[in-house]
Amino acid sequence: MPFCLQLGVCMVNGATDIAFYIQHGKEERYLECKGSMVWTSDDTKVKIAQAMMAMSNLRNGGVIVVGMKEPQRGVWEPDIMTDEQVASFTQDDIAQWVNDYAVPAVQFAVEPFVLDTNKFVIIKVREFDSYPTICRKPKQLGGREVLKKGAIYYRSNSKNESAPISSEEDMRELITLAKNKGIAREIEYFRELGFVATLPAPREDDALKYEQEREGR
Amino acid sequence: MTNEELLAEIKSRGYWRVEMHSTEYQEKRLPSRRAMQDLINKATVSLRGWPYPYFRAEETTYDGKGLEGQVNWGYHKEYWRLYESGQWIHYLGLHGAWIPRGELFQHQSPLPPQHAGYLHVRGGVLFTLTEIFRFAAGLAQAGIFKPTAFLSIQLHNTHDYMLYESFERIWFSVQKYVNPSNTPIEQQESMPVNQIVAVADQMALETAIKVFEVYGWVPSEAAVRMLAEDQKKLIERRL
Repeated sequence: MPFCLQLGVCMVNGATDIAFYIQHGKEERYLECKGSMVWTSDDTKVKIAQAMMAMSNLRNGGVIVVGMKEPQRGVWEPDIMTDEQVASFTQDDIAQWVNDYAVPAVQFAVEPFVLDTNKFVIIKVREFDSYPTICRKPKQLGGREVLKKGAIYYRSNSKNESAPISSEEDMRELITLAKNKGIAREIEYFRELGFVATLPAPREDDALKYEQEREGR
Repeated sequence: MTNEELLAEIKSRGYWRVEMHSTEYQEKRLPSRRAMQDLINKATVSLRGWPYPYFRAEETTYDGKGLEGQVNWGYHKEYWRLYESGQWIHYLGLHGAWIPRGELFQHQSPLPPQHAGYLHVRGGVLFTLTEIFRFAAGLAQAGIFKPTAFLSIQLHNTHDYMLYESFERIWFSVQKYVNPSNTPIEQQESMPVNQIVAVADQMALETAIKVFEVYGWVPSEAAVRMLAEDQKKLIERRL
């Protein structure tokens, strides 16, 4: 049975979603694949932190799949990940390390996943709540600055890569997202305080006037 | 064909009905034809080669109380009217209600099962709703819905219509999601005008999901992400 049909039959639960991400075979803006790695490596921590901060700045967040390999450019397939590698990724350890750099804290969930005989770590990152995520301090690795203080990590429209925001277009997109969330939040806040009326439907006589105006249309 | 005749034709099969206005009735928010034309011109949404709504000033009619437009060209069937009060009414025929099955699925063999009509997941639902909500945002920005906008978007007459998607959308390839009911699917919202602009795209996506759910398809998280990505491409004209 083709994969797509299998997916169509049972794509209502989370497990099928994850299987889809793994079998998708390519990265997307909201989907980043990483090779097999152990969390305790500094290199891993930096890569995952960049990806998580970038995902958190996207509308609807994103997903990181650890345990993949890229045999040819742009094509991803499952890799072999050991139990030790999988076990090294814990919610607390990742939160502690990543959120030491990310402000406001990135919200995410990490879980191990098995598909056929392959093991993976899935990190689902939520879109930021109020303000975009910013890297609040630098990180040096091998003499290079790998996390930049003040950088806003992002996944660009033009390239599926988690990197500091650099284009005007991406910056405008992020500002719009933040602005729109802010407007919606403020209105909700003022409504809670009673300064904004609670979503009134048209008054009965107004509704009637509109209806008469429409003449049955 | 008169507006009334076209309206009757649209209503004879599956169609969208859109109603938008302020929650407070004021008779003369738009006192002239010029004001109405300028408003629609500014708010019209053009994301995919066919505008929402179809508007050509020279093809509209004005009777002193409202401006009307229609198009009846192939499977494009629309009728709309903008009233002096700022009330907007739009009837939009579904393409999959009018295009013959063999033409709609000309590259598919075998053809999908025979149904009363067909509704494209993205083009017929998500993209149309995105255009509707963006148009609402455009009208709201012009101030004709102040202080609070009322939006009603309804999908009518789609009993036994089948949802479909293109082959390359592997997250949706089954042909089993069919509307079991003839009850109109409706999304009704009242909201402050500046909020519409902020949440238009999200509301379009949520309303689309509501439609899919009535058809029996509950999109998975992955499918919702892909729909959101396609919606974004539409908005950025990258489709």
